Amino acid sequence: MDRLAPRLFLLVVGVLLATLLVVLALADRASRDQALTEANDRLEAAHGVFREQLRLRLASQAQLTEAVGSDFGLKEEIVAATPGSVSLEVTLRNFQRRGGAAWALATDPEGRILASTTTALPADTRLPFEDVLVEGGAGSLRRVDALLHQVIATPVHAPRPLVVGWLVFGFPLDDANMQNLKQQTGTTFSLLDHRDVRTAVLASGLDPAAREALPDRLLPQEGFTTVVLPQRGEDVVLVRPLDAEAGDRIHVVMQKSLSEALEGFRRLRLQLLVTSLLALALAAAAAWWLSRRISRPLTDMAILARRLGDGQFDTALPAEATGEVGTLARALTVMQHGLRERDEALRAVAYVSGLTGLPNRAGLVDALRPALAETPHVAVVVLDLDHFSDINDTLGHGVGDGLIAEVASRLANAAPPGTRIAHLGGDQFAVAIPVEERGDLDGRVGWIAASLAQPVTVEGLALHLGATLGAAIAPDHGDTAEALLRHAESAMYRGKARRDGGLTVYDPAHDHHSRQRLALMGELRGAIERGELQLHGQPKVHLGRGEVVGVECLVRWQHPVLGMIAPDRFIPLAEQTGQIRQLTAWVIDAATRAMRAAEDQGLSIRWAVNVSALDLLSDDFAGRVTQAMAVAGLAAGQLVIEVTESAAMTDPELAVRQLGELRRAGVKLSIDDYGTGHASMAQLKRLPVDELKIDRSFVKNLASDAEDEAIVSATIALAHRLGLSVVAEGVEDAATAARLAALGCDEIQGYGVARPMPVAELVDWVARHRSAVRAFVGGVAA
Amino acid sequence: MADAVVEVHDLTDGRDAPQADLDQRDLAFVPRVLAVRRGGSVRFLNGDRVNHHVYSFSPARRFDLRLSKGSAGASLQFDAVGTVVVGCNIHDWMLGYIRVVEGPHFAVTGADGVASFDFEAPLPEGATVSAWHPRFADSDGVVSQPVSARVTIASAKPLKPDPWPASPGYR
Repeated sequence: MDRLAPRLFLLVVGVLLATLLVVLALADRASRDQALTEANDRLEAAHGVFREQLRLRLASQAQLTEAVGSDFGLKEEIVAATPGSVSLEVTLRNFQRRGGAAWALATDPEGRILASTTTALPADTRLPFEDVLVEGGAGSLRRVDALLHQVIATPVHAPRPLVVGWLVFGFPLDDANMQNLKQQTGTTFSLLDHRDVRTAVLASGLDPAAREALPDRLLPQEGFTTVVLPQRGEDVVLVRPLDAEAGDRIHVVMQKSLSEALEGFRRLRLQLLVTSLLALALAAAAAWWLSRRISRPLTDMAILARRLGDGQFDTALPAEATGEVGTLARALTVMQHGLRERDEALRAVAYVSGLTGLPNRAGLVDALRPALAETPHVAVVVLDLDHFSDINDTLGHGVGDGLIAEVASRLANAAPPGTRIAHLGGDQFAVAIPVEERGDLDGRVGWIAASLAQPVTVEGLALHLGATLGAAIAPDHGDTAEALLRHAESAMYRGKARRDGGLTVYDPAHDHHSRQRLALMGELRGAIERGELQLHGQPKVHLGRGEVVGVECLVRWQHPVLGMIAPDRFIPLAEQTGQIRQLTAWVIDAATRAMRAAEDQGLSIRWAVNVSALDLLSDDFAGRVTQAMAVAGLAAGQLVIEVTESAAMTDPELAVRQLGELRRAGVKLSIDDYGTGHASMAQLKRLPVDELKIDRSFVKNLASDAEDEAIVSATIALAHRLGLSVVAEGVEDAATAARLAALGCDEIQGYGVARPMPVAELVDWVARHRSAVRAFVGGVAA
Repeated sequence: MADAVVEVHDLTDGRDAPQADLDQRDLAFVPRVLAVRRGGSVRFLNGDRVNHHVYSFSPARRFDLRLSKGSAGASLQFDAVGTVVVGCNIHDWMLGYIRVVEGPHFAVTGADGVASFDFEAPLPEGATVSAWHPRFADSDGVVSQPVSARVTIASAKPLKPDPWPASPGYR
């Protein structure tokens, strides 16, 4: 696990535990060594006692045997005895009893047993241990009849030095002796004989179970050792050879209980253990406490660090930590403070407009994010200063900047509480206003226009300001600041396009519409290449002659998805994207081909093509047109170029030049949608046009509307006076046609005559509808 | 060597052996070595201050006599040639030898280790002289040699240890 408290705890406890265990082990070892040493000392002492006892016994036994050996009666018996003498045996038995020996026997001077009180050493056999038959011998230990005996032999003199025989006594070292020794010394003695394959226990003070197990568990080697015996536990053992003469075979084994010896130490060990456990518990508690004191501040610091990562610079650390931890905590607090300051500075740079001190787009978005979460109804208004670029270009950026700053300050001062103002950049500002209801908005933006009403004085110049406003309201128009801004901007641009100086509220439908328009714009280029454009033509009928004299070419876009798209939908797009040139080129090309075809089929009429302002702006436009006509082998006079008033006015000089060039080539020129544009009479006068086309808005209600009739009438008169022919667009019925004829209009065009149709069908249509046309305009005097 | 019993053999003229007395004085036999002619008897005296129980288990003559102090004792006849080892049952260290010889010409050497003989007649050819001593390791403890005017008899074998350890005496 990684946490500090348990780790420290475990470490301290572990170390202490290990130390205590080592101490306990050492104490155990030391006490055991001590017990062993003491036991060894006691065993050595016991051995000494044993040896001394043997010696004393031997001494007294020797004396006894000697005394018996000098008994006259015995001498007589021995001298008289033959092997197996009963009399001697009886005598021996008597002396044996007197002497406390286990057995007695008498031999002849050569060692042949004359009589014996033990069947183990029968009469008339040689004494197996003749080496004891030594004058003055101190006796030795011999094994007779599975017991060890101290064997004392004394020569029977008659008299000294004449030896008539030997008296041999055997004094046993038996269990009784061992018990005696045990009582005297507190040590358990055993006598082991290793002569045979299996070590025999000749005598022992041990209990039967231990006695049984002893030979197997004990190694027959001299010195100190320990042995574990059943029902006894662990004993310290001293093994010594019993008798030098007996060789290594017979050992006296002395043992004392080690467990008893260790008993005293057991208490010490218990005390040690208890103390250790107590110490352990205390140390553990202390370790835990200390680690908490460290780990808690560390955890707090970790939290602070995490919050720093999240951009929170306000975590407070408890001041209790001391030492290195405290130093770290204080350092972190200082760092937090520094980070906060830097963050604020960064924020200021990132989120604030340098020029105005207001939040910039990023700042507004950042500020709105939490606000939107709280208050769902927020309106974002984007305002764009009108003609700012003109001011910038004319008066310089210094003035422009000063203007922006002034606007910013006015807005800031005028803003009601709860309103956020931002400077999006350039001449765009944004205002975020909380609104309860949608309808509320109008009432809440008045202050914006009011603040801009007064002229701004910059460098001594009084500049009048205007702004276009676009608004998007949450949550209808978006729920994120970015979306709201985007939609508000979109609304603002729409307002700009409509030259609507007020507030335009975002319309999702329009947006959708404009999205679609944008899509179309992109597709338009491909449309030309993919052949999705079709050339249609709408016949123009001459009122006087009652026949088709011309065709206006119209482009239709057969969109694979949207179907047939009318020119008023995509022509403006083309103009915006500059693709109108390619479009017009295509139209010219298609028209010239259609003209050629119609011509070949016998239809010789004038074909009109719409041309935009952009087309007029290109220097080579006129040249291209004439060349196209030439290539098609068509007379220039068969082509009519229709331009709108506004298009002509975009760059009047250039328009005049281009149109003039076309005119000189022989192409006819027509002013389209006359009456709806911005051309003045003076400008019109200068244009080299041949024809005027009255806009359909005037024609539509001509029959019923007196004012429309007046306008049309006047226009026709004006045109004629200027030497121009007049075409009326949007004629829908015969009555209107009649009216127009009465007013002196030259040509008509409209649904009443024919809807636009693919140019390939034109020739056929004209052929089939000759009489219908004549009837439509019939009853009209030429 | 003292206490050697010297005998000249094969002389037939009889002579009476002197009276052999074995006395005990100061807890020792006096003489230590007594020579007696076969068939002769030995008178056992006790000139000591204590009682003695004199005995022998020698095959030549087995006997045991309780001699109270100062008693004139008994006489025992010795009919077999050989060595009779005499001891006292009460006083284990007391040791004496009664050497029974054929006779009649025998003597015990004195402290000077010399035994003298006077012969009336010259010794026959082939006569031997022998010496017995308890320390002789030879068989029976006897060493023989041809007789001559002056004879030194020595045992060829190493001597056995002195059978008379120092008497503890009275305390």
